[in-house]
Amino acid sequence: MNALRFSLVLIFLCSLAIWQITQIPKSTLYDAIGASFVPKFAVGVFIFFVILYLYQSLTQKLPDIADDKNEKPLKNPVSRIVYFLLGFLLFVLLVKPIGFILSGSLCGLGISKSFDTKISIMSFIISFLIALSVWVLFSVILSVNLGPAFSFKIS
Amino acid sequence: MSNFEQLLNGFGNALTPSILIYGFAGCLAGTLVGVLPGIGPALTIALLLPLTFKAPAVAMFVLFAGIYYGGMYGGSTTAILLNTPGESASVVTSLEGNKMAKRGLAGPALATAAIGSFVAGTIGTIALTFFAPIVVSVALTFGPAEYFSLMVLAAVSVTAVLGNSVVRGMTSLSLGLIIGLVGIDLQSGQPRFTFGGIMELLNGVEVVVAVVGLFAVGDALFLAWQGREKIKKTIIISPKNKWYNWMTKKDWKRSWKPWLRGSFFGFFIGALPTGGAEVPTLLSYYTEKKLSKKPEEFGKGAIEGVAGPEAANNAAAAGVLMPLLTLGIPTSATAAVLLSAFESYGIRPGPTLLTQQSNLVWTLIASLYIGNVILLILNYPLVGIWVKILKIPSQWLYVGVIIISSAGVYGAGRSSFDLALLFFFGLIGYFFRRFDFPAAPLIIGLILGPMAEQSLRQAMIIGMGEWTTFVTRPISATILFIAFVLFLSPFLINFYSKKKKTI
Repeated sequence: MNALRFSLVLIFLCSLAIWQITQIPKSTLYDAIGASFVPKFAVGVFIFFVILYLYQSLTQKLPDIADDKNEKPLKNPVSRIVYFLLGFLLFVLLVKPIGFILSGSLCGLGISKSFDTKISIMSFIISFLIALSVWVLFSVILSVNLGPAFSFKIS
Repeated sequence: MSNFEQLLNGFGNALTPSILIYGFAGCLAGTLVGVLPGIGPALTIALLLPLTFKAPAVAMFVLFAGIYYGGMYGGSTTAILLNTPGESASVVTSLEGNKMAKRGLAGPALATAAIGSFVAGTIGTIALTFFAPIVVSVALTFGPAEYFSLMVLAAVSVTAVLGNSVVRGMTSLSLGLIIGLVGIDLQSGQPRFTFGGIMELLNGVEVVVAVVGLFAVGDALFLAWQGREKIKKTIIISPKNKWYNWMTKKDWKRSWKPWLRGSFFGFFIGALPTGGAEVPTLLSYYTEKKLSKKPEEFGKGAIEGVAGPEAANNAAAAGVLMPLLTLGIPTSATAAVLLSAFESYGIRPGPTLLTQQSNLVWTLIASLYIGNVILLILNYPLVGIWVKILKIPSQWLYVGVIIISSAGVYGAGRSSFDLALLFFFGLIGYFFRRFDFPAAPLIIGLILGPMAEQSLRQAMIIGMGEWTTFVTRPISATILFIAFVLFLSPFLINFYSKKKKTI
């Protein structure tokens, strides 16, 4: 991924936005500007600046941390990102079926692995304790409903 | 009741034990998040938004004010001792502060930062107390056209002044505008950007999800991608003397003028629609460098270079509250989150806030005075405790950040969809950080977009559908002109500097 590729990602977002603009139904109510005016304007501005960014990425060197010798990532950046996203994805998918603490522990395991910590019983225990403390803080002390601590409703 | 009597009344409320506890908790949490890199006051307040359903408004806003001010105080500790600013506004502090610490002057650097923050926070709060009613009296004459123009000014100036590129800033702002428009249009009932009517999108995108995703998940993902956290050596330079011996008579003499000048820059620039603390801190630094009797010390650890910017940073925090409380316009990410906190209580900040919610506003202002005192105590002698927190291994720190962030988002509505959105914003945050896109304009656009649309519609109805209504009204026309000039200024500066080089 470089600035040019990122600008292509932004162009994909532009196309999604254009598609969504065409989906706004017309209202029969009187309105001075209508429901689609501001969205059209916002999307227009977005497209304009994304095209400028694309042009810049083709004609000049745009900032990318990956090119900075003091800041560029060390070995295996993709695998670290994959571990991070995998951990987070597990949390999103499992928080309802297995409860907050176990899904949080699995998420913690993925994230700690993404920071180059070995997957071990010890790292699972630390993740479990962090998830447990957060659940106690939010659910018990602050009365925020995080659902059950543990659940086994896999269906 | 006069403003002074209302302020005294506010002190009466703020000094009740239950409110004091909220204030103390806020200051403590704020200092903690200010000290820890990657977690800021905007994120912390966003995470605590679900609690607004449980606690009274006064208590929560006192808590949030403590977090906001505490974040500003705490940021300087890491900037000085670690050369890692906890907050973007503390970047300038680290320039001289860390050099002082390396010369064995960590104590005076921390002391001038903490006392300067106290002085500036108090001056900023006094200025807020006296200027807010004046701004309100002017704002009461504003109609929807002026409001719309002000929001355009705020959005454009935040984008044009902050960040390194107008193109990237405007891309971020317009993406925020689009995200802010997701959901049912309140006027016509038409769904917009809901991808065929996805139920969870009909109510729009919650600010908390965007803030937490961009700042917490995005930052952690970026740091994981870099993989440099484990090899970073934490060099913490702790002060050697007892805290009460940190500042000599000479240090006081060299600090008091920068504190006052920094407070002036911070409050007045912070109160402008451009907002933010980055500009006043930089301005204060260069002013002190220019006025210093020992300019050769700058770059090697000059105490004026810590005193001025730290004062500017804290006064700006009070300044940013001015447009938020009096006009209902947020000019920083934290102010944007505070605005959603007001909205979750059904309170609309603006010129009528001071009359309709006078108890809340004056208690909040009184708690800022009290918070400053609490923060001086927390930051000056207890610095050793904050230093210990910095020794937590980064991998477990970020596991904690992500699980707390997820809990904050999940707790608001127990929705897995919101967690998936958090994931999406985390990816945006990662790409933004990697390719140098500013994240604050996205948050400002998300909040201001729907508000500006509402004002635009009202102005058009009042103006009988005539677009000229925005330029025929003198205040609106002036504000739009300033916005236009600010938008063009980076391009013009760039053009002229290139021209000068070729000559």
